Order: sequence, then C-alpha cells, then structure tokens
Amino acid sequence: MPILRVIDLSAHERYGVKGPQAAKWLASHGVATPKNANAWVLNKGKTLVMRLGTSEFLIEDQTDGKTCEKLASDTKRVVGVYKVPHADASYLLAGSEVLNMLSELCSLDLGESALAENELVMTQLAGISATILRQRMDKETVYRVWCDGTYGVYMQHVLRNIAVELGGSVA
Amino acid sequence: MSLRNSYKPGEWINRAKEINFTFEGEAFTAFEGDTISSALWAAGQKVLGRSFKYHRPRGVLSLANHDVNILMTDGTDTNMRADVVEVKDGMTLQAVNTIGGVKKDKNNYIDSISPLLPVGFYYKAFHTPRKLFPFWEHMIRKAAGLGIVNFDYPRILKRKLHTHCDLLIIGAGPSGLTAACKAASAGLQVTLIDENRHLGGSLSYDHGGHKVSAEYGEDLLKKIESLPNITVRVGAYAAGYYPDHFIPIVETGGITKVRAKAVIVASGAFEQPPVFRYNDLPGVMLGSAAQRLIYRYGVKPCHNGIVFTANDYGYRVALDLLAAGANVLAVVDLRAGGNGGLHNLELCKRGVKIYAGHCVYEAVATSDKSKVRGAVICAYDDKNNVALTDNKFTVDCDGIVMSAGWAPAAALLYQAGTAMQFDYDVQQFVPSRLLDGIFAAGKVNGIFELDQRMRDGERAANDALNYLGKLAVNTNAEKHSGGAPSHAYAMVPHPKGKNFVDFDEDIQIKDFENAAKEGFDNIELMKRFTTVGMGPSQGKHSNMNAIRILAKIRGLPVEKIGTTTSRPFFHPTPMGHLGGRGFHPHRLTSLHDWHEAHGAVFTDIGAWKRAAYYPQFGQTKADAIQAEAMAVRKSAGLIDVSSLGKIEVHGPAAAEFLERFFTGKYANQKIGTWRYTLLLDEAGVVVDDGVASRVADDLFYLSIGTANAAMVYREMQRCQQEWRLDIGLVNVTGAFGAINIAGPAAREILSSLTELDLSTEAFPLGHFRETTVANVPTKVIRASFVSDMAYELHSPMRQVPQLWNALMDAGKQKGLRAFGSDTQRLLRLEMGHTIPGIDTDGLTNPYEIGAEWVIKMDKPYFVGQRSLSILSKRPLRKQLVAFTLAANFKGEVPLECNLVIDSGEIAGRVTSISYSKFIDRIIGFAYVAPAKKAVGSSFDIRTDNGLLVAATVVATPFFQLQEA
Repeated sequence: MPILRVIDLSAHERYGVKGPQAAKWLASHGVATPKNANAWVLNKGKTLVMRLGTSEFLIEDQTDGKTCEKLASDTKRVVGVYKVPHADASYLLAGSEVLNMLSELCSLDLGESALAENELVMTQLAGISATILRQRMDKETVYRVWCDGTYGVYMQHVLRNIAVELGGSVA
Repeated sequence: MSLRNSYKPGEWINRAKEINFTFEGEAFTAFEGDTISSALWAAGQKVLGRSFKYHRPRGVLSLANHDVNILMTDGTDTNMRADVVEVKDGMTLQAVNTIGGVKKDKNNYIDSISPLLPVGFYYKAFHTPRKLFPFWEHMIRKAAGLGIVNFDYPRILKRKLHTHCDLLIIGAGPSGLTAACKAASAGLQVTLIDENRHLGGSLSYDHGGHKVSAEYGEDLLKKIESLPNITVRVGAYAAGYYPDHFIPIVETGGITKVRAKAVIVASGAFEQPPVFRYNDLPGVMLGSAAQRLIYRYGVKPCHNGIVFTANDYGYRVALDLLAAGANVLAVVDLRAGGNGGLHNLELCKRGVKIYAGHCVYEAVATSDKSKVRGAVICAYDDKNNVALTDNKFTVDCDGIVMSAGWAPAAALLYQAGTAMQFDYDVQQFVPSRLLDGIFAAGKVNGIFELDQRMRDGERAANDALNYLGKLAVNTNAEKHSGGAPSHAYAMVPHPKGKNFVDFDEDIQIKDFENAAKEGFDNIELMKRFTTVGMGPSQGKHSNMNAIRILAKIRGLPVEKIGTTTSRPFFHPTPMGHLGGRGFHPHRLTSLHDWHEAHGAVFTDIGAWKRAAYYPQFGQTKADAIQAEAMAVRKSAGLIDVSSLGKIEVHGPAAAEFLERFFTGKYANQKIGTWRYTLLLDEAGVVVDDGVASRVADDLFYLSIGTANAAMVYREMQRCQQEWRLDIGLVNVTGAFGAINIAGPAAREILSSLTELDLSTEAFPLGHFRETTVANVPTKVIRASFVSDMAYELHSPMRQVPQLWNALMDAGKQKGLRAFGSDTQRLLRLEMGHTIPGIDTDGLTNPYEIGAEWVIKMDKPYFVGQRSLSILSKRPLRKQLVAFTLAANFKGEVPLECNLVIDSGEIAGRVTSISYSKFIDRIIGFAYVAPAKKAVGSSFDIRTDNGLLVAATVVATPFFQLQEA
C-alpha cells in the first residue's frame, strides 16, 4: 500500500441544491438521496450524492457521470428548491498514512470505528470548513475532501507539504 | 569516588553502551539511558546547579522533574531538566544561572547578603530615588532569569496531532497499570500515558529492599503488552485538562490532543521535603530520589547516609539504601512514637540506629559549602514543633535522605473542576466530588498501600466501564489505616533560618512569617508576595508545605487555608510545541495569478489576499495609488472585488427577512433595483453595510463587505434559527467573483461587450440587471461607491478571468487599467463614502455617522431597533465629519487615529485621511464634538510628533472643493 496519495479532483462536475423540497426535486430527476442527514450514496457507481445536514445536497459526478449536467439544464425556479452554485476544491486522500495526515488537520475521529461508511462530516480541516467522507474504492479506504474553491490553493499547499513530509505523493 | 553500583534487574541504563559527554569543561562517561543528573552523580559530581536567587550550590533533590535544582544548557537548548533528560553522546553541558560555572559561580556572594534580599525586597527597595530606578531595573533584569534564549535555535516543526480513545489513563504506576488492564480486558480502547521513559511508576523504584513491587510490576507489564487495545505513550505528560475530556499530551516530538470518553487520573503524588536548616545542600535528597538513583540508574545516593523521616516511607528508603550498599548510619524519625512497622524491625536487626522523636536540626556543609558532610541531630517535640537542642550531636555523613510525606499530583483533577477535601487520616487533599467521566486512583486518591493502590486502579476502571455503559462490578479499595503517609508539620525551626520550603525560589520559613506579618496572610497573597510555587516547578515540592505553614501562622486548619489555582501546563511546554505547524488559511480570487503577473502588491483583507496596488517601474506606493486613482477619474479603472460577500436570500419571506435583519425597508423594493443595507448589532452598533438587489419577488442577491462576510452569514443563519421564516440562505461568496469597472469611460467600454442597454434611462443608478458580458452570465449592479459612473459585475468565479481579460482588451484604447484595494479606499473617500470598521469602531452607532436616512424606525422590528430607540433620545457625543486641510498644506500630515484636540482635551480622532491628487487636497473623515460638525467649522488634529494641524469641515463629495 502506498504511504500517502493526494489527488486533486476539483475538476469533477458538481451541483448543489437545498431547501425543504430539494430531496423531492432530486427524486423527480431520478437522483436517489440518502435518508439520513450527513450521509451519502453512490448512484449507479457514477454519481456521489451527499446530504449536507438535513436539506442540502451536493452532487458530484465521478468519471462518466452526467447527472450534474442534467440537473443544471433544469433552470426552472421551484418553490422550496434553492440552487447552490459550487466552485469547490476537492481531493482524494489515500494510503497507509492518511489517518496520520488527517489527525494533524482535523480534530475529529475519522477512523473506521467513528466514521461509518456512508456517513460524512462537515468540520474544519487545516482551519477551514470542509466536508469529509470515507469511502471504499477498489478495496482501498480513501477519504474525500471538499472545501470552498477560493481556499483551494491553500489547501493543496497544506496537503502537499504534509504528504511529502510523510513520504507520500501528490497528483 | 564513583557511586555507580553493579547491575540491578529492571534498571533503565544499558551498560553495554557507554556515552561520553562534558559538563563545564570536564569529561564524564555515562551509560545509555542515564539522565544527565544520574550520570554526574554516579561520577561523584555533587554540585550540579546554582539556585535562582541566592546562587546556593544545589544537587539532586527529587530526580523526578518536581524541582529545578539542576538546569543545563547544551549550547543550543537551555533550561534542560537534567534529572529527566537523557544524556547523549557528545553533549557539552553547562549549568544555567552561573557566572564562571557551578563550582566557582561569581554570584555566590549573593547568598552571604541574602538577609538584605528577603522576599518582597523588589517592591520596597528600588522605587526611590526615582532617578536610580533605570539603573536598578537594568541590574535586576540582568540578574534575573535562568537560561539564556538562543535566538539561533533551529526551527523544528513539531506536529500537533489529534487522537481519540474510550479511556485515557494518566499515570502508569500500579494503579494506572491495573486500571488499564481491567479496562482493556473489558474491550475499551485505552490510551495509557506516563511522563517517565518506562512504565511502572513507583514499582520501578519503591522496593523497600525487597522484590515484591518489582514482581508486581513485571506481571502488570506483561499483561499490558498482551492487550492490543492499549496504546502506550511513555515520555508523555498530560499538560492540562480542558472541557469534555480534552487533554493535550506533550512528548519530545510534539503535542497530541487526546479526546477521551472518560479519564482516570492515576498520577500519583509528589514527595514533600521536610524543612530544616541547609536542607538544600547537595547530598540532601528526597527518599524517592534516592530510590530512583538506586534502581533506575544503578547509582548509590551516598556512601554513608542518614535517613530523616516523618513517616513510614523513610524506613523503606533506608532498606533500599542498604540494598544499594550504602551505610545507613541512622534513621531519624520526627515522630515521637517512631514506627515503620516491620521495616523498623528489619533495620534494627541490621544494626541501624533508630532515633524516634528526633530531628535533623541542621545539615552540616563542607568547608567550601558545596555539599553535606554531616547532620546535627537532636530530640524534637513533635507536638509543639520545638527542636530540643540541649543534647544535640553531629553525625558525619555524605548524604541525608529525607521523607516527610506527599502532595497529590492533582493538577488535572483541579482543572477538571474536582472538589477536593482535606483528609486527616492521610494528611492530604483527596477528591471529594469528581465530575462525570473523571476518576481518580492511587496516591492521588489518598490510597497508599501497594495492594490497595492496585485495587483502587481496578475500582476506577470498573467505575469508568459503568460510566461508559459497559457493566462492571463495583469494587472498592480499603481506606488507609495506620500512621498517616504524610506528616502534619515536618518543619524544624531554626533561629538562623536557611531552612528551605521552595527550592526554586529560595524561600525559607521566615519568609512566610514575615509575609504574614506584613498582612499577606491569605494563600493567594502569600503566594504572590513570597513567590512560593511560582518557579518552574510550580509548587510541586512546596505548595503543600506552604499551606501548612500558613495554617500554623494563622492558627487555622489546613482546609481553611485552601489551595491556589492550578493552571495548565503541568510542566513548562516549549513554544515550538504550542506553535505546531501553524495554519494560515487564505483565499485567492480566480484573478490572483493575473494580479501577481502584473506586479500587484498584496494585502490581507479578512482571509483574502487582495491586490492593493500595482506599482509600475520606479513608483512608490503613494505614486502608484495616485496614478491608479487618476486613471479612474480621467478614463476608467478595473478592480477585482471577488472577495465581497455574496448571499442569496430565497423564499416567500425573503423581503421580511431583510426587513428584520437590516435597518432599511425592502418589502416594497422593486425587482431590478438595489437598496443600501446597514447591519447593526443588538446594541445598535454599526457592523457592516452593503447592497441588496432584488432579483425576483422571492429572491434577493446581497453584496456585503469582504472582512465581515462570514460573520454576517453566520448571523443570518442564527437569526433564521430563531425567526424560522420561509426562506433559504445560500452563501455564494466563493462561487461568484466580481469586478468593478469605474470611471467616465466605463459605460463605453462595457457596452462593447454586452447587448444590455446601459443608458441612464434604461439602466439608472440604483438598478440591477442580469445579462451576459463577453459571453459570461453576469449580474450587473449600477452602483457608485468609487465613481458616479461605475458597474459592479458578478459572474461565476471560474469565468471571471474571461470577463476581466475581455474588459481589459476592450478598454485598452481608453487607458483602462487595474486598480487595487488601497486605491479603492482613496476613491471612495473622494466620493465621501464611509467604510464600517475603518470609519466606525466597536461602539459607533448610525447617528454618529449621519446614517439616519437608512434607519426606518417605523418598521415593527429590526436588529438593534430597541437600542436605537434608547440612543436616539440621548445627545450625541461625537459626529463623523468630512474635513480637509488647507490648500497647499505643507508639513507633517496627520495619520489615521491621530487625535482631534479641543482646548487641550481629546475630542475625537481621524478615521480616514489621504492626499487626493485629483482634488489636490488632503481630505479625510474624523470624529469631532457635535458642536463642530457644521460645514466651515475648524478643529485641530495632533500629529504623531505633537504638532497641531488645523482642519476644516466640508461637505461631501470632496469634488466640490475643486469647483470651489
């Protein structure tokens, strides 16, 4: 297993929506949403659907996903459905030292016993607001991180520095 | 003569590896695992340091980091605690706080004039004559302090990490080890920490001449190793207790912040010294220090020693001294009845003389006063605290090992809010009420017998298990029986003093008596006047004795005296540890690279890096700003304002939300227009301002100040939680960028890139449109912050560079140039616009800045309304006015925050000031007395050099001065 990998996934397409009718609206577009707050599901293996709190959703297309484009094409304003434009920075962290890295950046317990799969947390990472989840990908445990894109250069710099210190790599 | 003993099982040194080092120029050898002190003591080097104030020679006292007799520097680091720092090959060591070394310290004369330097002398001696104070201050500053700071100390990153566990156990002695085994066996994730390099605590040294405790230790350690759910950290101390079981653990490599679900404090107790004359001589040490030397480092504390005890523990120590091959010439027991139980009998069998009801009246120093060479012993009246010196006698010895009792290492318990009570059976403070999730075990809990300490550890673990929802049997340890482990008052009076209570600060018994006579007879006052407990050890070896002395002086029971406040950190913690990596979050706009490539000088505004100005070759900052401002006034300028806060307020109640949140009216605002927003706090203080554009009936797009954006959004969310209106708040600050194009040519430039009709008739000031500009979807706000002809363009952050470049291209022929935030400040000043946070402070209300026009008091409610209704009835005390200095002013220009002076009194201050090349005047804003607010009034501003500069109140915008 590699020591530590930091991969920049900021270029993935994203779509955000919130409001009392947001879940229903997404369902009407064929997007399955998590039942619980602060949870996530993977639709057809191509689209990550994250429930941020109770009534906000962040959708991210993985490779080959087209959901975000489809949702964005519906520009009709609906009562109780508020579009949340996103320009996030996003990273994938993996490797044997990933929890070592995260233990310096975040005060929460992100280990398997504390952060269940399909749960996410909205917390502080390196002093800025971030959303974090743990995922199994190709039999490997990885961590996904999202933050405001204007902090992207700063976050990348922090992740890169620590990764290199711990013997990892950045892509 | 070497004091190194032969191998002992369980010792901490590796005799196969020799270490060479120097101490004050002399070469020494040690074994790997030796501390600096143990290595030097083994070599017979007894004078290892000099005391802070009187520069008295000092040696080993506790060998446990409970005192700072021995502090060293290796040239790079300083104040190294030699008792616990491992010696390394090649170390070059010096004691701190000496001139000329420990043996020939040139400041040792201070001890002879110590009667002139009692506690409190600082406060009395140097304040007159006043002209000499700088001299004395210089002398005392030079003399004070211990090690010297090394300003070339290497920058070493010490990571700060977080970790979590079910149960954190502080202290790995018998109680802590037992608790860890019990808890881990029941399935808890346990973190076990100990400040020593190895586990075991007193099991590794308190043997009493036998093997029982060592055997217990081995068993427990084997069990600990077999349990994979115990994380062990040695060389790690718990620095303090913070709410919700948050405890920073400090190790050499950095700090780890542990969040536990429950905590067991099994931190043991600090051995307390009996107090007698010259109890600080090298060779006089605590019983547990002697045991540590013997069993951890294979070092004999002395060849011929006296044990001075006031409890049964001293008898165990005497047996350990015998086991180490030392001669124990006598056990001197302060207690009339003596005791020591079976240990007493054993000692007698081995020919050791026991003097019950006796004391060491004073230690006798060698002729050079560098170490102990004897003890004066006499009978002692324990009840009346009187040494009966008629038949005193002297015994020659090279060591006095002393034992009088214990003080609980309860700092973390105190910090956690534990209520403590004084238990007379054990003569110490013990926990009486612990907060949820916190448990105490062992000596800190007043349990002293070894088997009971282990039972107490098990009991604490069971309590923790029950607390965490895992069923466990409630067990108990037996309360202490027999003689108290601590003596109530082991302090031998002596007419000549030098009987030390606090070794860090050279404080003697008489210092307490004198302090009390002067009225400092409360424990908090006593502490600060005498400085007891204020040295680097923070009272570990002295606070309990200080309490006892004060209790005796005042004739009160100990518990009535109380204790001083225990604060983190448990041991001094390096600044580098506290600094850690240092995270400095910052935000960049999508135009950052462009600004950098064009030579921008950046400034921090909130978390944002903003281009402040763009100096061309050879330009000063002032020149660059004026040039940029002139470009805006003459043709056009472009500024990146992407850092502005941007919030969408959606929903049927969006207007209602704004009506409540801001001071203005929005319910009747037309779609496609914007209105000024002013935000107050509940005290009526100006917090922020901005604009609210109505996009639709149920949608407002807010643009707010950069610095306060996050706070305003948070405040909106908080209000919404309370108000529960049918709205949705969307923070789009990071998703959208913004550009402001301003100046006479702005319209022409912009119109070349959009189909939107920009004529005044179609798009007047105060309006808002959504369109595309250079094929980029853009919200356009016709605002006038820096110029009457200006457009604020908001687009998706990623597309802002495309928009910017298109504008730059389109405006090239018109002389369009970029301008920065510093220039923006000048431009808005010229326009007569105030900025919250610059022209207002934490107390400014809107009446003071002439914002009455935006206060709509006829609304049912808005944030701050109630306060304004009170403030509006009071006369104003200050008023913000626009002012100018004389035309062609020459001289020292006032600065922001320079004071307005009226008849020699402070009447206000300058909030903004700048030279404007366009107007060719120095202009600004200032607070003045309301009587001076009229246009044409004059007032004085005092410059940094004390000159008074005349200013005149003018109307805004300042352009009117040009017309004049």
